[in-house]
Amino acid sequence: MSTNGNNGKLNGRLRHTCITLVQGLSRGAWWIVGLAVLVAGLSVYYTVNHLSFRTNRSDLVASNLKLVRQGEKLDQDFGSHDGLVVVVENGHPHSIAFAEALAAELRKYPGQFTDLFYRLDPEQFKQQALFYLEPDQLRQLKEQLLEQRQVMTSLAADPKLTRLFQAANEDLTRTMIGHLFTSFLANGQEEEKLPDLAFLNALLRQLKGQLAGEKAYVSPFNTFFPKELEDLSQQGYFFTENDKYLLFLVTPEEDGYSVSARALKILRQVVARVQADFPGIKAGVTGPLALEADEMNSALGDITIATWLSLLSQLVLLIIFFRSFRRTMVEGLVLVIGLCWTFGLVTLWVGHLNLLSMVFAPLMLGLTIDYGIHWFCRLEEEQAKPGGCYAENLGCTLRRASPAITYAALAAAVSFFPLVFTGFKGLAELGLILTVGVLVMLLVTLVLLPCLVIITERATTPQLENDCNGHPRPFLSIRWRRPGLIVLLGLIVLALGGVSLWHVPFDLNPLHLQNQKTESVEWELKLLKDSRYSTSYGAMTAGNLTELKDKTEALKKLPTVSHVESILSFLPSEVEAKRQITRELTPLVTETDFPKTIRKLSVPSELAKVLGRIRFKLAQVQEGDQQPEDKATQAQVAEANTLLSQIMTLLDPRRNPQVASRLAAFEKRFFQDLHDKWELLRTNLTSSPIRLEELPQNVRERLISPEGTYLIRVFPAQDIWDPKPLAKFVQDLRKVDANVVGDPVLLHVFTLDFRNACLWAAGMALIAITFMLFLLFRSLKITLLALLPLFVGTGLTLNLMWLLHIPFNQANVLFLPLILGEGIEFGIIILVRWKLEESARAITLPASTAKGVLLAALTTTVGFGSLMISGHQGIFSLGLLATVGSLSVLLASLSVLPAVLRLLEKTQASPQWVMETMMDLRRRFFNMIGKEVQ
Amino acid sequence: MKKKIWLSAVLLLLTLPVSYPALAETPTSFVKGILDGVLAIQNDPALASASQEPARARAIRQIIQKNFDFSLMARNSLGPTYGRLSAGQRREFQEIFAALFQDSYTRMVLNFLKQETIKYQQERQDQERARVNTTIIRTNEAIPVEYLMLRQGQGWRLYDVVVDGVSILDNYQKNFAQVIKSNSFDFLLGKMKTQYRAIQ
Repeated sequence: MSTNGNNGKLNGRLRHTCITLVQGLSRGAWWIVGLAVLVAGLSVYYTVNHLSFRTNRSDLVASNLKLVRQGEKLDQDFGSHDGLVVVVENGHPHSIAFAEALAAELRKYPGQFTDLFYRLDPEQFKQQALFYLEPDQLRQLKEQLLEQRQVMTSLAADPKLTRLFQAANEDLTRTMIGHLFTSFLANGQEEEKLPDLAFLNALLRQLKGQLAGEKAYVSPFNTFFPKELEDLSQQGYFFTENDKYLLFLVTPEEDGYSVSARALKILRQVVARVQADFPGIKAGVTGPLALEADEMNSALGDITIATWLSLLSQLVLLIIFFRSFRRTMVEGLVLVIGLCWTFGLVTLWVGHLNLLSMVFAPLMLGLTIDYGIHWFCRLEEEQAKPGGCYAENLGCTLRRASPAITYAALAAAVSFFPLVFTGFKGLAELGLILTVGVLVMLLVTLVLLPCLVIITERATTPQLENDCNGHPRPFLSIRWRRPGLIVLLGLIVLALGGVSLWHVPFDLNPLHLQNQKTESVEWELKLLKDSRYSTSYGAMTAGNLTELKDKTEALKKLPTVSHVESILSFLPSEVEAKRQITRELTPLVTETDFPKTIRKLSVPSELAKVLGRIRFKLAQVQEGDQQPEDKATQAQVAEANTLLSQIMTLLDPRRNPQVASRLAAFEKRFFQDLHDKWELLRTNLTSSPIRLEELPQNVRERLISPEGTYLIRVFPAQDIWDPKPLAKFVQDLRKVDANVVGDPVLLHVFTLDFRNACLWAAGMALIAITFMLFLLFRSLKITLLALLPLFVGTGLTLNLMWLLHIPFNQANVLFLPLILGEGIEFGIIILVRWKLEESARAITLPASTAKGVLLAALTTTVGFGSLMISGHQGIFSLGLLATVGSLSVLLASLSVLPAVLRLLEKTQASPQWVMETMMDLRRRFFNMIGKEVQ
Repeated sequence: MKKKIWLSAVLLLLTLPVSYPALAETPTSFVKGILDGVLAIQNDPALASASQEPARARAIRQIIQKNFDFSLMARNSLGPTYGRLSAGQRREFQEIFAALFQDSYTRMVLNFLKQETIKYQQERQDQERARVNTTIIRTNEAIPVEYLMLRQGQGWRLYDVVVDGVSILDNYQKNFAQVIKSNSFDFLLGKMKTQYRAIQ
């Protein structure tokens, strides 16, 4: 071989290094172990006290600095409000009372919750309420007042309930006569319809209740006047557009994950406590901070379990393979100490873990346990040699196993290092942590492991003159008779992998990564599904009111936008048009004056007569040929008839002796209510619309910055978790303002950037590893051979992904750079031994090497596989893909690579063998296609 | 069955003289004659079934036809527009108006007048015109109905009925005026013709 000379020099250098190392280790084993444990203890102490967790997604994304800076500026200007949202299902009759009770409870925690925003007191807007109506609503009010002008005038002149019902009766009669005699004049929808009975029924309900002795009074005018003029004690709460959910916005004290998580815990406790007083009410907590904290809590819990599971399962595997509890414990201790050191260094250099880097511990354990495994497997082989003493075996293990382990660790470090340059903070930190971790683990494997073995197995100083020539047994006694066939299969798998690559989709939907069972995700999905409300919105600013109006108008025209929120949402729009209508309304309202107190009261018997006439006609409507077609009106008629029958019974003094006093009380209350509503309407007509500076402080501070800029929140009309509508939404927003930010923009930009960064890191790692291997081996052929298990294993993984419908996603795309270190390790371990030892070349794959590779792969598999216990779908998919990938690379390492090495050996031994093999393959091929070979 | 129908027709013929305006009769007796006739038809057991409704409607319609002054009603329903119409237009309008009114009033009678008691109250007479106030009484309900009539020879002819304060003629006037204002007389006549064809 052309590299034999180089190998000799390398071998010599390594041998010298190993001798020095063993001597040093033997003398100071106790000291080294003691020091290692001490440093580990200090690392743990330092980590517990200084390591923090960053759950904010913006902590992962720093590639687009401009976007991140703009987002941070927005947070500075407008504050981080409403991070937690209590969602209350609005079907319960006491949802508003629940909100008030919740507010009262939460106010007991001013330290945790700096702001509660769940209601805008409508009293502040009451005198300008008409300006908040749409022009069409104002016109409708005008029409109603015009229609009822005579009724109002006659009622003002004779304010009595009897008069009001007489008017209602006339109206009903007129409609019925019209329907009978002139309905043919109407065109379709204009046909004379029964008057809307909503007001009549509301009035009858109240009348019936009061005559029966009920105390509660609900203004019947709520069905006549705009709701803005209603009793406002139940108004001003935040409901979703379809009124399905009441939203209660909470701003917690924000100082990182742990504070937010604590606030979230307290909030959930308070919600549960208040819920106990309102049986049947359904409420849950969501919002950006809750989603983040829940994701982090869930992931942290899962990762903790996964780490222990990974450690335990790896130790079980070691016990099975080593058949030694002592050695397993030694390896376990080495891993724990290495992990402690790594945590210490991570805390020192990085200071925190983010959503990505928090998975480093099980990943690193899965990868770096391999070094100890290879080391022990070699030790076992050395011990199996006849005649060697223990010290000699240890020395030979150090000398022979160290180079391959060092190369593998360096390759792993090189594969992770490009992540540092992706521009993503999250990926960069993960890359740095893994690189440092691998090097730390290499150090503890090469230094601490021998020391512990020396201590636990009471070895003496080794005889250093031993030549350490191995006497390996072949792996499973495989003779590699048909290596060409295995190579051919490997190449087919590789080629198919190339085809599969085009068929494995990339799922960019981040919602598919979430743990669907966490409370915040459940309520977020409920909100999205049932009310199209989302806590995610695009955000932009306007420098002045004109710009704000222009942008708002432009945004409202976009089909991808559902609604726009800004300070303008709290100011009346189309003020001039509304002023015109209110001017027309003014004479209608001012010409009539209702007294606050009435002098003449209705007589029950007279009222009963009028009500009887109404019932006569409504009964006819219900039974005769004038029955309304729509079910709502049918229901109104049926309700009116029922109420009228009940009231007429209650109006009979023989059955209801208190009828006169109760009727009088109701009549007074009713006319006072009418007077108040009418006065409020008058006041509204003379008021000016509310001004910006008159808006409540909690609204202003959310939507106007101290510098005077205005915030615009733009909500999507479609499901923006789906990448296509998301891209269109962001594209549309950018047409209005190129500097738009917010979660949808971050999601759109960074989803693609993240995927590309992972692919770039994988590519760079491959190039760097290839270069490194070439520098180490000084042979292109050996370098390519080392890469072979990686390529074939990746091909097999892609085929399996295609077959098993496993897509790539934002989480498991990380597998690509991570699997490189793993994939290359096995090739290096096998090749270094094959290259350095003649005895290994003779049997192609020594059993101890194969055992090391097998055990290493299995421990890596359980290390990654432990992530599959996570409810977080992203972490689960990473674990699944990494498991499939590890096993695929293992298969390629123990089959295709040895087969190629066998072919190479045979080629060098006998060129004739190549010809025979080729002829054999040719013969088999033609036999397959049914042709005779000449 | 055929026998029953034949008997009903004979009974109807026997009751018809009651429906005719008697000479020099009072307004109240005139109205009473009409209402008694109608109630007799509505309460006739031979005509009670749903299948006999067309027969009842025909009989009631005959009473209406004989006791209303359609010429006056048609003129009043159009107001000033009537004066601008040609003789042919007036004739055509009057004919269609009469048919439509009879149809509508018949339906009203069929729907509203069943087992009710009629109470005859105040009668006011002023030369050629008279008003009779009645009340239709059901168990707990009383609906005032006012009949307005005009002397014709020795008898009377109705020209309006006010049900619970709402005049049928006013309803025509208001609606016809609206249609003529927003469209035209021809449009109104077209609509009436369409309805006329529909009820034939």
